Amino acid sequence: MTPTNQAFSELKMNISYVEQSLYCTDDLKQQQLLLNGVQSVLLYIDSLVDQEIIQTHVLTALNSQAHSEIYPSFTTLESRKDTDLQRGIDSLIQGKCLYIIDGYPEFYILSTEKMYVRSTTEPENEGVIRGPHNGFVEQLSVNLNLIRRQIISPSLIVRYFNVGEKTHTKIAVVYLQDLANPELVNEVKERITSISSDMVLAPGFIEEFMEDNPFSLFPQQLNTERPDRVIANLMEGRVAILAEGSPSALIAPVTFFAFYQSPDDYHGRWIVSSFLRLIRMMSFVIAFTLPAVYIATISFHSAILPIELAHTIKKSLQNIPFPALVEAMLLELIFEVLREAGVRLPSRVGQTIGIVGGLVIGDAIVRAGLVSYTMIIVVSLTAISSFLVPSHEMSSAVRILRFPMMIGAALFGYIGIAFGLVILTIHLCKMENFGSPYFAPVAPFRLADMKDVWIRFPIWALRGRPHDARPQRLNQQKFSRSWKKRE
Amino acid sequence: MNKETTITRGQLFLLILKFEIGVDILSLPYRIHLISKGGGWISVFLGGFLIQLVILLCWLLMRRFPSSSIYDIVTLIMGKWIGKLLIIAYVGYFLLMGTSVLVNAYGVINRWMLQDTPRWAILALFLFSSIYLVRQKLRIIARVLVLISFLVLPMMVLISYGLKEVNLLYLLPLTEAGWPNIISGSTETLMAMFGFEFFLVVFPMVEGSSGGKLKSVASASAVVVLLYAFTVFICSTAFSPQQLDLMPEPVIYLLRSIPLGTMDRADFLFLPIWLISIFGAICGYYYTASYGISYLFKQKHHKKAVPYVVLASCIIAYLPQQKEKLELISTISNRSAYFFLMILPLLLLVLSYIMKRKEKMI
Repeated sequence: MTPTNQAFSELKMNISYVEQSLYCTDDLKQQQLLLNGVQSVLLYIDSLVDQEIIQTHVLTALNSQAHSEIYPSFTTLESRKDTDLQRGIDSLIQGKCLYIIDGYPEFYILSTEKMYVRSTTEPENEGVIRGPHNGFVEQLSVNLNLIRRQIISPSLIVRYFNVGEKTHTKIAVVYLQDLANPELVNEVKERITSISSDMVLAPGFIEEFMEDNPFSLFPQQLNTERPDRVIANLMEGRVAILAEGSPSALIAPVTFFAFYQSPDDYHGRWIVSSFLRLIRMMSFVIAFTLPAVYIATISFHSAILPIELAHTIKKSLQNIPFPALVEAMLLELIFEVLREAGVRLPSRVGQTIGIVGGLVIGDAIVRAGLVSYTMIIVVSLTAISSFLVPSHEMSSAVRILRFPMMIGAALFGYIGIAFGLVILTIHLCKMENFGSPYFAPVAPFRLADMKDVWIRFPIWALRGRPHDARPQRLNQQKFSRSWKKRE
Repeated sequence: MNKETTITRGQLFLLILKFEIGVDILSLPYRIHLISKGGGWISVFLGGFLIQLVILLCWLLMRRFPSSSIYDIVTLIMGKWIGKLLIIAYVGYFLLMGTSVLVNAYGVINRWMLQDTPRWAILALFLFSSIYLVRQKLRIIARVLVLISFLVLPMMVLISYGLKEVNLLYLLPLTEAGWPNIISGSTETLMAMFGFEFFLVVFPMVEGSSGGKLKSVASASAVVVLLYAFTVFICSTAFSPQQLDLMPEPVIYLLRSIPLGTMDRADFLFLPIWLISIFGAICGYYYTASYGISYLFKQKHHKKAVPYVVLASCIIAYLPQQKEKLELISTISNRSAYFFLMILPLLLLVLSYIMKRKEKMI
């Protein structure tokens, strides 16, 4: 708690108190004013306030009331009287300005913050073909506005929190009062208030402070920059956490399958969307098992292949000096290096990566006899499949998963892969976040919730909300196609 | 009862289904064939009927104590000291059953997939993954095992590929071995269907009425009988009796002989699936054993006992080196099953009637 301090009635003492509290920082500006023969001062931090607001709403207001009573009124959005100087200083560093009059132990706090707002654009890593093209920006109020404008309901609740001893990051927890489970909301609030750290950078920090299984590979809160995705999740009874200075929202609790649902799924026709989603799910499996299966097949169970195929593969392996595992590891690591370089490189030199990766590595490495052609096919298929996941965190998790799988396959063949999958399943089933099972609705198995998991049923068939967030009401629509009965 | 530790009736059904389809699905057609020849599938149905009777017997006992596991019941009826001895015996029995499944599973892997992999490596694989699973809460174990139990479907699909080879004439004459042999063949089925004893321990942790629980267990057993009969039927029609005499694991031979489009050896696909299924069964036994130990030492959670149980089982599975001694483990455990699942429950049931010990209905 900051100590309270009553304002002095003498102007000079007030000013020097403020100056000392802020260690005489150079961007603290004072504007001396003389109104009706009474000395007064306007204090503000130059780098935080909007000069224009001070000019039009504070100074002109004061001048026009020069001959009226001693307490002026302002036309700023917010102006309030206060007597606690410490609170005044807290608002000063938030971009407000203080108006102190000599001889009065009261002062005004006027809101004059300056905002730099980026216009909302489509988020680059979550693009869609159809559907809305706006995304969150770094400003909390804009983000909340984007959500509020689409859920026009009095039950949409925003709760603010300040976390971080030094940064005082403003966090907003958004949920629907009549949908979200109260236990869940309380849990989220409790976890946010228990964060005690000098610095909270959203959303990575919040996520790590709040998640249940910090040692898991899998992301446990959905990180999205799309308002429509947040809204859809709010309507399922989940809670969104937004923070000042970050263009993304965290959604909790989510299940594993939420990371495989793209907003695009709901804008296209349902059969097409279902097909695409099935492909995405398949790619999840391919992304971490394909190299392992290849290694196991080559080194243990080549009898499973039809004779002709076995011959072809054997031929391509003839000149390779390494065991399959080394070969795969080599290529996988090269691919990871290329990918990371591609992210870091400025886009102007980005093309080089394509040339180096595609031509030099792809072709030359085979001719040099380090890696076989089949392995190149396997690794590039895996690489492409790992990019099909709509969520970046999940795709990273999947990419790392394949290394233990490869080792298991190299040691035990198919048995190793099978046990790898079992351990993965146990891990996924074990995880819970905010009291909801992570692998729902597969474990615990709920057939009714499968409508929006592997394939997307037509919207009018999705009558119930998913059960995993334990919403207060499960039913979300009645039969919307009742006109059909008239025929 | 803590809500975290309960499972639903549907989960119980799938768990029992999963536990009963054990290692023996591979060798059952062979062993039944040795005794009852073409009438093997009749033996399976007879065995299934016997199993239902055993389940009914155990259920009659459990029903009198709706909120107690078998461990509570033996203490309640037999008194503190004999009760403790019996708990230890039950723990030992579950441990031995788990170990015998493990030993058989290792044998199959060793024969069919990984000939050169050392035994300790495969046991270590089982060791770590089963410790990881069994340490969890019952509810989570159930979630995982339910997923594993779905693997029965692809297994059955693969087996049903054998329909292409069916030659009904191999079955005839049905009663070639004679009725006495067909009936004694049903004991083989009985042995293959052990695994339902899991419900002796988890009975109080299942939601629902005791009648409903019986329904879950009994219907699971009935489904297993159907699947077993199907497997036996396919194997004894796809192979001639002379062939079958030479095949200790006919299911694998069956899969091996059918080319599956792009795949030459379907058994390589079948065995990992089967192995995971077995893994689930082993974990069920480990859970019941560690639950017993934690009950004995009055621990709140079975977590602490798990590593000891699993380690003990793996050491027992590692020690004997000859094939005969390995078979001894499964013989002992199968023989003792008769005592622990039929004689003892019957005794307890009779005693509970005589002594009028019964839990008050709430």
